Amino acid sequence: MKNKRMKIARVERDLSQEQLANKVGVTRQTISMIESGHYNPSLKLCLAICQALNRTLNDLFWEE
Amino acid sequence: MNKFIKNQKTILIYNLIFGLILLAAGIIFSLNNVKILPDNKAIIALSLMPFGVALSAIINLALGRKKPHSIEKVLIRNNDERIRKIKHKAEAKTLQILSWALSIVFFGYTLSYPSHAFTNPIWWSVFAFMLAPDLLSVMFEIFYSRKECLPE
Repeated sequence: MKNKRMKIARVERDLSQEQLANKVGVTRQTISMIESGHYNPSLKLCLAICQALNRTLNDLFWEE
Repeated sequence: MNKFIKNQKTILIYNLIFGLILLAAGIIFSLNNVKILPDNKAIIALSLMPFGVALSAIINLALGRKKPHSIEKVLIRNNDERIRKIKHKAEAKTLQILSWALSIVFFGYTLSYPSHAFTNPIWWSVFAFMLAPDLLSVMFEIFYSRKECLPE
């Protein structure tokens, strides 16, 4: 399932996939795959992404 | 990045020391006609291995200074959890295939030379190599599961 909320949060902070990837210490491909729903990140990486985008886990990763 | 430089410096120092010890031992043994091996050239040749590792550490350090961006990219690639997961899967598969191959070699060897069974040291070596991957993986499984359960 695509993670549109993460993509929107990233774009709102005016970050490219590459910039976000550098901030959290992964490759751009990993960020791309998380956004397209092809990779399930670990909790550690989810937290790093949340901190980088200044959002909570609920905001970005919780599915209703 | 600092951790990378520190690691490379440690690798460089240890390998230089090890290489110099081997080289000095080889030269001293040759000059004094001390025969530890049939030919002392072998000790000198072995010193090339740590020197090679030291050279790669020097190249990494130079690259880290000249092009820190490219080294950072390599570090990110090495630490990316998705890529590490793929690497671990590939390594696990390789170990499984090697384990099967060793089993085939062991069966083939035992069937081809039945007289070697339980008597020949080569048979015991092949037997040990066949069992090692399974035994070691169980041992490491126990070790890591205990380590993960330990309170910090």
